[in-house]
Order: sequence, then structure tokens, then C-alpha cells
Amino acid sequence: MNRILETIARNMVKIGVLLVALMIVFPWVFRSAYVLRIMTVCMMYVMIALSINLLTGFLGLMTLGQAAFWGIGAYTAAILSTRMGLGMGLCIIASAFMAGLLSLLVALPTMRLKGYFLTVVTLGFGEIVRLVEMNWMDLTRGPLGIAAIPSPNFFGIDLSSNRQIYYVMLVLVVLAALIVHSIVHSRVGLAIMAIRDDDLAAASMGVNVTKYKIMVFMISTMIVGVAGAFYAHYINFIDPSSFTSAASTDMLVMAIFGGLGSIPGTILGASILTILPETIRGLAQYRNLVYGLIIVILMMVKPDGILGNVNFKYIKQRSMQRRGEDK
Amino acid sequence: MSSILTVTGVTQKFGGLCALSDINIHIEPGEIVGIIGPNGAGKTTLFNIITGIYTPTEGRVELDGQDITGLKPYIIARRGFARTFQNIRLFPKMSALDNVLLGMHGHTSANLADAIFHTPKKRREEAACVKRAEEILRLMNLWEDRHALATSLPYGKQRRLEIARAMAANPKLLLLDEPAAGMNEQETSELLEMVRQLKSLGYTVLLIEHDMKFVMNVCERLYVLNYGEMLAEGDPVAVRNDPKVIEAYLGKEED
Repeated sequence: MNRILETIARNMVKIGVLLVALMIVFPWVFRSAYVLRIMTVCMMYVMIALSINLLTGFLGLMTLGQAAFWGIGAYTAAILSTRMGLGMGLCIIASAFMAGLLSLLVALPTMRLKGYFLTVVTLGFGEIVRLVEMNWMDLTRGPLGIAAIPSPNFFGIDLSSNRQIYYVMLVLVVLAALIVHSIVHSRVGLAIMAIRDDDLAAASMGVNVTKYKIMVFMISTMIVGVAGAFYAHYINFIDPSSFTSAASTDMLVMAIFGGLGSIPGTILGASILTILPETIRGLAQYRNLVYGLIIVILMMVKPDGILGNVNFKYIKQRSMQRRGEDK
Repeated sequence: MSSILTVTGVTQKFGGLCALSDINIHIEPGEIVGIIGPNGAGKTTLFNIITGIYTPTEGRVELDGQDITGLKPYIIARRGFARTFQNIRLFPKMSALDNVLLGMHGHTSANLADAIFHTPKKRREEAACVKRAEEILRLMNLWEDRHALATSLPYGKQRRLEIARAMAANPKLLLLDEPAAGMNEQETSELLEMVRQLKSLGYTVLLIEHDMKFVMNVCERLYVLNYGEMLAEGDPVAVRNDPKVIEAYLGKEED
């Protein structure tokens, strides 16, 4: 097992490039619209789970309101594209901006809170957002939802075929993964993990804890906001029933299932939990039972999630040290 | 006046309890100064005031002549105070090297955009930090353990790693809270060597310690706290012979 992990750790870059290459080729091998839709949704959930992992896994701040920011992104894109005819590129930027702005408003008064208190705040905020979506008829059309959202397009170029949509999502998820990876493997990332591990010690070493908490919260919600904008353009119709706290919980489960604090884990976890329910569709009404069982069993066997306590960076460094390869 | 640290008339009350009353201390560059006193004397409270975790009820704390009373801990850390904790507070899920790298946070500046776009500035800064961190790890005899998780290290090494992390901040004053606590004879004498080495490297050190032998061996000047009051101050020999100190603290040991 250790040897396998070591080999993976040493070849992480190659594996990443190979994975992206496979994903590029994929729609030319599997042409079924059904399979492409599953893969597109899967990548969207990977992106969402990555945003949660940045916040929960690396900063240590459990969120139960991520679906609200997903919804904010979706509604921003829906409203701007149906009422003002904005293209998807601009809608994505606007969605990121709106999600970031609203998360800043939530964060400013609450980021001094710690642990579960903040989780409750995110839960409460999620409910507020849902109620606004339900009741601000002029803006959101309430439970009627917003229909006829234009399909993905990029500065006038139509990208509405299944394959094109798939590629749009692939670009977004790769960008999100690269951003999260770059942040985590930097001075900022070290500070974030230090806050997670011991915020008082981090502050005593010169880390501005509140600033980083707000910053990471904003980045995380901006990523999920972009995923929301994509979702709106992809599904063409949104209503408040998609953006519930149950959806937030599902998203959090994906991040925990894959392993908090592990980017490969997140990709794995979110993929398994989106593709699995499709593969066991044949079990009909027992589907949710099986799905639940798998989560329960994994949490009993590996409470940290699939790759939760596997740090590939350290595995690689130790392997190089042992072989005398580092200087 | 070129004192690195000046504490003037500091009083700290928690509700009705007076944890510290009218404390005055000063540290000059290059000194190794100890604070001793029985349990509950207020030593750690004083550390927490100096590093900004508490704001004192009364009094001033100055760093290099500048008032830092009431500033936030991270700002005080950036101005030049780095500390260790009585119960080790390393970052458990980070490697020894990353713990030390984090210590440099206050005087590095690559921001989020630098991180996302991998700017030359970020790479240059990171390379310099790693080099410096490796020097410190070698110095503290932790080189072989640099990629191990901080909490997987044995106790004595964890203590040393915490000092290494504080050294990485390149502080004007290094505050060590009971560095020898829980160490065996062997580890304590190693630590003694290291603190002496810190002095030769030009660090100024303020340390809290219970181990009298350790303090007497390494400190040039001592402050004795008892029930939140300054009982005595001076060089170790004078303090050792002070009747008030013997009565309050050392006397008990001789019984």
C-alpha cells in the first residue's frame, strides 16, 4: 500500500496530465448523451467539492451553506442572461463577483466566530437565501423559477451541444483545481492550514487569521458561484428547490467522503458519489439505501475519508529524502 | 534607551482576581533573561500580555521604544516577538519543514495572486525561505526529521521544533515558555546547549522556567514573580541568595 502511494506521489503531475488528457478524449469515445451528461454533472460536483474542501479541509471551517452560494451564482447568471442578454462569459464573472460580495457581507461580522458557530451561521444564511429566492417575486419569480436561460455560449459562439458543454465544464473544473492547488501549495496555503491546526499559534507567528478566513471564504464561494452560473446555463431552468440545505449537506458529504485536505481525494470522492447513484439505478427503490450504506461503511472504516490522511506532498518528500534525491 | 522590551507598570485583572500587579521588566539586546516563580505566579499571563493575547488592565508594553500595548498578536509577532508555548502548539498536520516555513510568514509577502499565477517573486521568495528553514533545522538538529509530521516527533524534538519555528520569524526577542518542561536530563542538557547557541547567534531570549538548575545555568538576569508581584530581580547568584526568594520559592525545595 505504501509503495503504491509512493509511486502515485512521485508521479502526481503525470497522473494529473493523463487524467486531463483522458477527459479530453472521453466525449469522442463515449458519445451517448446520457454518459456525457453524467460526466458533466460529475465535473460540476468536483468543482463544488473542491470549493468546500478549500474552506473545510484546508481552513477547517465547516460550511452547510455552500448550496446557497451555488444558488446565488445560478440566479445571478439566470437573471443577467434572461433580462439583459448577457453572454455566459460575463455571467460567470458576475456570478463570481456576487457570490464573493455576499460572502464578504456574511464573513465580516461573523469570521471571529469559531468552529461550529460559524457552521450554524452558514446554515442560517443558506435558509435566508432560499427564502429570498422563494419570495422576491420581481427578481427571482419565486417558486415558478426562471426558465429559458440561454445555453452555454462564449462571446457569441454557441456551445450548446452536449460535447461543447462538457468541454466548458472541463475547462472550469481544471481551472478551479489549479487555483485551489496553487493556493494550498503556497505561503498563503501554509497560513491557512496553520489556522486550521491551531489559530492561536498561527496568530503568534504573524498570521492575520481573520483576513485569511475572509479571503478563503470568498474564494470558496466564488468558485461555487461560478459552478452555479454554469449550472443555470446548462439546465436552462432554475428554481429555489435546487439550492436547499439538503443540497449543501450532499456537497459537504462529497468533500468529507473523498477526504478533507486532499485535492485528489476530493476529485475521487465527488466523482464516486455522483457516478455511483447512476450505476446502481437498476436497484430502483433501494438505490438511496445502498448509497447511504456505502457512506456509512466508509466513515466507519476510514473516518478521514478516502484520502483524508494521505498527504502526497509529504509522501513524495519523504521518499526523496530516503533515496537521497533532495540535494 | 535601547531596550528591546520594556514593560512598565503592567497590571492584569481577571474579574476580581489580580493576576499581575505593577510589573516592570526590561530586556536589553543580546541578553538571556529568565522569569521564575511558583505555579500560578503569573508568568504565562505576563507572556500573553507581551505577545498581545491579553491587553493589560493597566500599564504599557514597548518594543524597541514603540508602544505595542493592545496590538493584535499577529501585528506584535510581525514587529519582532516570537514565542513558544507551555503546552507545545505545533501545527500537527504539517511537516517539521512546513512548521518552520510558517514561522517566516510575518516577513514574507507573496500574496494570493502571486500564488495563483506562480510569479517569479513567489518562486524566489519560496526558495529563499526553504533555504533558511533548512539552515535552522540543521542548527536545531532536526534535519533528518524535516519531512515528518510535527506530532509524530518525540517530545524533546517537538520542543526544539517549536523553538525552530520561532527562530524562523527572525525575532528581536524570542520568548520561550517553559522550554524544558517535561524533558529528561539528557534532553534538558541538549536544550541548554541550544539556548547558549542562540545567544552566540545574537538572539535575545526571555524564558520562563521551573527547572532552577536550567535557569541558573543559562540566564544572565532573573525576575522572580510570586502571586502576581515582582519579588526580586537581579543576577542568578543574587536572586538565589535573596531571603524573600528563598522563603517564597527556593525555601520550599530545601525543606
